[in-house]
Amino acid sequence: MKKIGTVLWDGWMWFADKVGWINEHILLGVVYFVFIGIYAILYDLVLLLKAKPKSMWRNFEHQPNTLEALEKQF
Amino acid sequence: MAENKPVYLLGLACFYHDSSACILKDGKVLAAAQEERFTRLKHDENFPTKAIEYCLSEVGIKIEDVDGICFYEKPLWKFERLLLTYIQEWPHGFPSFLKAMRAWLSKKLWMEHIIRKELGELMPGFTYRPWYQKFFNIGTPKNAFPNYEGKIYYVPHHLSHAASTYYPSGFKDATVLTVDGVGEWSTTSLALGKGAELTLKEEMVFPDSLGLLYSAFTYYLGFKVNSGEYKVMGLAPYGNPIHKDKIWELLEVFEDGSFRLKPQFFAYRYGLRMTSQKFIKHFGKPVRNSDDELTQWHKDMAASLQEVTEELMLNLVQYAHLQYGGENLCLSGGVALNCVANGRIVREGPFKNVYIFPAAGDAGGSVGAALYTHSVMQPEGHNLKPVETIYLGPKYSNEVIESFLQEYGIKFDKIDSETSRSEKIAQQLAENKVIGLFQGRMEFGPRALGNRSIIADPRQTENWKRVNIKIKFREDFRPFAPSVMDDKADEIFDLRGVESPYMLLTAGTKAKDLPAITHVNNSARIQTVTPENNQSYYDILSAFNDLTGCPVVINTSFNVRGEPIVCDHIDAFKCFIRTDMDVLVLEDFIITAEDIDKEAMKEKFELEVFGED
Repeated sequence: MKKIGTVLWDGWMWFADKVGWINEHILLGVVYFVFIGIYAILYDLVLLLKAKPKSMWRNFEHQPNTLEALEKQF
Repeated sequence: MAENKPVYLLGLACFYHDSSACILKDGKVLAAAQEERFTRLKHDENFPTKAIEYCLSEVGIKIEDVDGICFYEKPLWKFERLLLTYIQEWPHGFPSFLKAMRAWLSKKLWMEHIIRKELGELMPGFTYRPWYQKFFNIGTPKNAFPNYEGKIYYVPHHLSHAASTYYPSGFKDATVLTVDGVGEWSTTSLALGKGAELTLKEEMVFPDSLGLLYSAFTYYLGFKVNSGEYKVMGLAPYGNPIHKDKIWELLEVFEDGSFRLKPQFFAYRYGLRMTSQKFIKHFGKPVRNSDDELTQWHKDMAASLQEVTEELMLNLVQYAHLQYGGENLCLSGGVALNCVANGRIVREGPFKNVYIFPAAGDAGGSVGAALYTHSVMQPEGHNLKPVETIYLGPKYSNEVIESFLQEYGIKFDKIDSETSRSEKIAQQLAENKVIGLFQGRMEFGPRALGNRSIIADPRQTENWKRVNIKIKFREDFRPFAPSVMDDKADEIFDLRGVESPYMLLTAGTKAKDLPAITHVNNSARIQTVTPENNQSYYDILSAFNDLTGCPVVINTSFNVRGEPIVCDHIDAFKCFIRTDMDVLVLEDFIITAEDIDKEAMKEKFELEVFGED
C-alpha cells in the first residue's frame, strides 16, 4: 500500500510537471464539471426526498478503538 | 517491545494552522511546543520539524526510539468531506475546488509518505549511487535519508481534542464537549470519559459550526480568520448587542441545543470567502477592510455575536448535562478559547467542575492524539493524573544566557538569590517599569503564563495604552489580562472560588483601582498563580504585594503584533530592543534600557523597521 502510494504520488508530480499548470487546470475542470456534476445532480434528487431534520446531532459511529483502526487514514 | 522499556509516543498536529509536536513517556506528557515559536512564523502550519527536534532532545531520545507517531486527524475522512461538499455545492465551488485539489493532490493526500520522509530526515543520512551510476562507474554519490519505518496512528480530530482535555483534567469521569471550526466532518462533539476509556458519542457536522460562524463574523469585521477571533472577543465589550436578532436569523436552533446555519448566508463551503452577498445584504454593510476605522456599528456587531456564541455554548452544555449527567465537564476545541463564554459556563452552567485544556485549539491536537493512542495501547496503565505542568517548552540556562550577553557586550546585573530576584523585579514594577520576563520552560498553548510574559503595574492607567501602542504595537482597544496570587484572587475578582491557572476564564473585577486590567464592562481575563504551578512567578507577585499591597500584575504575551511569543533568550532580547520596554529579565540577569544603546543594538542585530501587521 505504501509503495503504491509512493508510485502514485511520484506519478502525479511527474504528470503535473509535464503537462504544466494550464493543462492541470483543464483536467481538474473536466473532473469537476463532468464527473462531480453528474453526481451532484443525482445527490440533489436524493436530498429532495429526505425529511427535514429535527436535530443536528448524530451518533458518532466510527471511533477507532484498536491500534489497527488507528493505523488507517480513514 | 521489551517489558521494561518505556513507551514513547510522538504527537503531531500540522498542515492546517498552529503546527505542534509533543512527546509522551508512558502516557505522561514530557514536552510539547508549537512550531511557530522556533520558526518565528505566526501560526506556522508546516511540518513541525523543529518542535519534534526539541521534544526528542528534551527526553534524550532519537526518532528511532519512538514507539509510534500519532497524527491529530484522519486525512481521508477530511478528503471525503471536501469531495462531498463540492458535490453539494456544484457548480459554485470551482475556484475553491481547484485550489483545494492542487493542495490535496500534491501534499495532503500523501500524508503518510510525507510524515515518513520528514521524520526520516531526522535520522542518520547516507550516501548512495543509483544502479546505472554504479554499472557505468559514473557520477558522484548523492546524499539521502531513509524513510521513517515505525508505526503511524491517525486519531480523529475531535477525538484528539477530547483526549487533550479529558486525560489531563485528572477527572475519573467526565462529559467532554469539543467545539471548533471543523475537523474531518465534526464541528462539535460530545464524548464520555470513564477511567481510561474515552468514547465519542455524538457529533454535529460540517457545515453547521459555531467556530465557522464566529470566523465568518471575524472576516466580516475585517480581521484575519483563524487568528483574529480573539480580537472580536476583545472588541465586544465596547458595543451593545443590538444586532442579536439579526444574527439569530442566520440560524435554525433546535430544542436539543443543536443548530443549523442557513446556507444562503455563508460562502465558506464553496468559495474563497466566508460570507455570501445575502449575508452582506442582511446586515446592510460591506465587509470591513482591515485598515478601515472600527465604528460603533462594528463594536455592536461584535457584542451581538459574542452574546449569541455564549448562548449557543450554554445550550450545548445544558444538552450535554441532560444527556450524560455527571459533575465534571471538559472543554476543548478553538471555541473553548473564548474565555468570556467559558466564564459563563462556569458560573451559569449545570456542571460543578469545569476543566479547559490551555492549548484548546489545534496545537493541542498533538497532545490529544498521543494521549488517546496511549489509552488504546495500554488501557490498564494509562496515566489518569492531572497534568502537572503546562510549562512544557524549552528552558535556557544561565550559562547559555551569560555567554550570549558577554558575546554581544550587553551590560547586565546578575542576581544572586531567588529572594533578591523577586524583590528586585517587584521593585522595578513598583517604579512603573514595564518588564519583559523570560524564565523557566516555555508555556504550551496560546497564553503566556509568566515565563514568556511582559508584566507591568496594573494600577497605572497609562500602562494600558503604553504597552498596547509602544510595546506591542497593537490595536488600542485590546485589553490586558491580570495575573493574581491565587490566595488573594477572590478579594479582587468575582471568581467564586474557581481557579483560572491558564487565563481561560473572565470574571468581574471587584477592585476599583486596577484600570489597566479592567475591561470596559468591568471584567478581566484572569490567571491565578499558585506556588505549585509557577513558584518564581508567584514569588514576584508576592514581593510586589508586600511592596505595594497589590497582588496583581498586568500579564501580556512577550511578543509584538504579528509575531509569535518569544522562544529563546535571543528572541527575547531582540523584542526588548525593538520596543519601549524598560527592563528585561533573562533568568537571573537583569538588563535595563538605560544601560544599553537600543539603536546601536538594533543595527548589530540587523533588524528591520517594524510596527505594521
